[in-house]
Amino acid sequence: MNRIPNHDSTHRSNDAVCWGSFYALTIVVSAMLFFPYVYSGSDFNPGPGLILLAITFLTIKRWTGAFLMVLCQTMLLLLEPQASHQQVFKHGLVWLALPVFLIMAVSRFRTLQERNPQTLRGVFAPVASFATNVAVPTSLVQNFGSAVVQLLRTGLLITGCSISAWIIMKMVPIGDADIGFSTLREFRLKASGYRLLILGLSIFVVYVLTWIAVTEISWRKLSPSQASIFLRSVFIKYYHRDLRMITLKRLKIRRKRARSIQPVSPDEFPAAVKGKT
Amino acid sequence: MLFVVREIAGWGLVAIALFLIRMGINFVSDPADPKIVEAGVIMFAATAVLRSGIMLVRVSTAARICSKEKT
Amino acid sequence: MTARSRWLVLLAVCGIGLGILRNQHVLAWLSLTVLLWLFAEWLCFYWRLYVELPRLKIRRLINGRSDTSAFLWAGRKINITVEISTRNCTLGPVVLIRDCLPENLVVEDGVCETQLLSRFATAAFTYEARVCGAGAAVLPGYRITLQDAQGFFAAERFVPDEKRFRVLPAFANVSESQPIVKRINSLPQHGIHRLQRAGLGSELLELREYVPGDPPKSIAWKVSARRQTLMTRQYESEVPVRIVLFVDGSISARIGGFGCRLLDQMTFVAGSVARSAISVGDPVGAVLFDERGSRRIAPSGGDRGFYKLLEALSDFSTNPAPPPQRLSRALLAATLRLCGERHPELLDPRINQVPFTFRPFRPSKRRDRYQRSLVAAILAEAYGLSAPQLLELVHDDTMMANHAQQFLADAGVSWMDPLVQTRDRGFHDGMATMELLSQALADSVAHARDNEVYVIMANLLECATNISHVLPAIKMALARHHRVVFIVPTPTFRRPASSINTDSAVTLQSLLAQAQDLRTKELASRLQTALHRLGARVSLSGEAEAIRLVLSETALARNGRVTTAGAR
Repeated sequence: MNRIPNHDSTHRSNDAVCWGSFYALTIVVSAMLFFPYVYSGSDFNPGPGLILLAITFLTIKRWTGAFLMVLCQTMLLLLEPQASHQQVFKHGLVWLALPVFLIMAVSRFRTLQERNPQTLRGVFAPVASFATNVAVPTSLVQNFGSAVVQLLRTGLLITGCSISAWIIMKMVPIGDADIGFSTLREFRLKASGYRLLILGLSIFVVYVLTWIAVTEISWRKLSPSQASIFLRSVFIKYYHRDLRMITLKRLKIRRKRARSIQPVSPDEFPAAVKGKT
Repeated sequence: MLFVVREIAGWGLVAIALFLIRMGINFVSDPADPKIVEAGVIMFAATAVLRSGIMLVRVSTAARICSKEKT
Repeated sequence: MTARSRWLVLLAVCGIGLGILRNQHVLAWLSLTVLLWLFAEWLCFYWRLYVELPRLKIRRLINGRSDTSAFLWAGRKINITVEISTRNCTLGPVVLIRDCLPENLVVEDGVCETQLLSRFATAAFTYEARVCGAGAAVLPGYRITLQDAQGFFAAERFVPDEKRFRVLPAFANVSESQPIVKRINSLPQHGIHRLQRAGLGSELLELREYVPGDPPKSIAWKVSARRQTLMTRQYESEVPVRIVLFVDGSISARIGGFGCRLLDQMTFVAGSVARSAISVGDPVGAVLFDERGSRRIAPSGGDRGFYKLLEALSDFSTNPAPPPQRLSRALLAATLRLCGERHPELLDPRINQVPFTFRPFRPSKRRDRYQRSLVAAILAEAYGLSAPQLLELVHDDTMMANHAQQFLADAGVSWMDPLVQTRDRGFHDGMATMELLSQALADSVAHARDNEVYVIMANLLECATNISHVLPAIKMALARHHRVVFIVPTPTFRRPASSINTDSAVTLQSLLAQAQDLRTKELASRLQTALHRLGARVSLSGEAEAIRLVLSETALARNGRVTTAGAR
């Protein structure tokens, strides 16, 4: 007979803390690797780097990965030259890989934090144990392997997505290289605008086809209760005005009838009750 | 039987919507003279047809599930 | 899709647009990568939800057994183990499985849920729960929350796995000691007691003068010769002492959490008295009365009779349909919460569609109307209502209140706010109880034989000032030589304190408790005065004192003594 592991509350909190520790480490490493690339250009400006660090730590505590995404996109918007596709932005791969890894690690950490609010506190316990030369908790060591496997799996997925993105961008035809657009009228004549249209349409088509397939397959797995509720709600949605008018009218008549019933005087009450029984 | 007919009609509408989307892409595909406004109108119509087709398919699927459960 | 992923999609789309328009390829590439990553995670999540999750198998063991229905005992702990396994695959990474418990079960040790943060094939969790009150306990199933690792997508499902349990009332083992020294000539059979009335027993009751019609063999010749007149021997009766338990199940007795209702006090006393009486061979019956009517259980003895009585008490303790209430926001909110727990998949906006209306205009009212429509759809599905009736639920407060109450009651929610309004209950409920009690008592006296002990357990505190409505029935019972004992349950489950405790710290709770005690004491003293005048004994609360009072009354009925060692 297979032994089924018992997950009591202590075991669960250790799990969350272990995974949280791993992903906190991933965040720190990714942020430190990304930090030097934030300085682009000849002038040294500590501002963007400090903002990156601040947002990274705030994201661990409170915010979500969307803020990191905004920060990275803003930095790219300001730092990346508006060049043609032949010119490659320096350290482009770094700017692609590390932000996505950061967003992934931060989102995972936030999920663990939501499941167990003690995760953030528990993360510092191994650090403290390192500092005081006390043995690292064995659960951290045991879960480290599975955490690395999961990280590699997600990393492979992200790599596959980035390669697919590159292929999609390459497949879209472009005209002459040009920079920017000034008016809506010029939009349709500019190569970049045209490229955006084609790319957007391509992604839209792929999304629609996948969406139809996935949702229709999932729709066929509805339970009878769900199907019944759906049909009832669709029927009401289509005939809502008429049905509502009929219902409200019926309620009005019923209330009027209830109000018009003669009240029984207290003396007649026992007789009235006897008559009913 | 009615459910099957309705579902086939729904899938038909979905196919028409996909055809309209293809037409829209064709309008835009010509780099020399892309018909963007026309493509926009076609895409809007395609979205409406797609939604109605999907609704027909879902209603007939749900009705089939309910009738199967009752029998 | 969670808010986290929606924001990322919006940012990714904006990033793609800006990146391509401004020919910033890395920006576009980064944004497109994030968008495709979210798309891939979406596909993986759907796979987990519709392919892997249906392969989940969950098994619940209660005290090591997996029966679908069984008996439990009120007040006792049960050990519940939930085993989770998957067929031919693993599931994850974030799965939260919670065993939904009814209100009648309270977790004492452990947690009734588990969260699995990585992919798993098997898992289990164990916890201990205590059964609060008699009646029924239904474990409906499990609530499963599935999330992807990054928290971009989440789905909730309910897996039904209904297990119904009948909860028998708890009882105290009150020991009965029989005299060691044999003081009577013959030892009556088990369950037969001497009654000091003329009968066909073997013990001499008295000697009296002969009257024509007395059997010749009853003439005491020696005494007659001494007295020079014919004397007849009169023997005692040997009869069983029947105990009839009157249990009040009216609305006021059912209000409160399981284990804290007045009815729970009464069933505890009833079970304890029955256990003690049946152990000495006295048959015990019951009359269970409430607004639905009264149910009479004929006195019977032995273990079979005892368990039959306990089963009847257990069925009686199961709350019936609650009294109609007005619709309130709290009631609607409670119903919505329960729908979210038991039917999360029916709250999906793709399935449970609410038609758009322009009115109401205020956002808060629009939200309330939307939630009410969602609840109405689920209630319509649960009770088989048609589409026009569903719309009536949305607009008719009375109909919505009735169905919401029914829904909560079917889920085993106790009679507390908001299901049943607990305020403004008092005198009128007491009047109704007295009417029911009078009727039940009169019926029972009509069916009674000799020498019965009536143990009346009813909530009469609120009508202590107008107890006269039930006095005629009590007088009738006493006139038939039955003994009548009143056990009046108190809201605090204990006797009111005899004096105010000035030593303890003054807090709001202590002041309220003392005020409640004073009020209870005042009402109890009036009740006791009125009933003592008739010769009925009264005890308050369901403590051991009340049980001992009943047992001493039955001892009196058996042999005329207060205690087994006392004198007549």
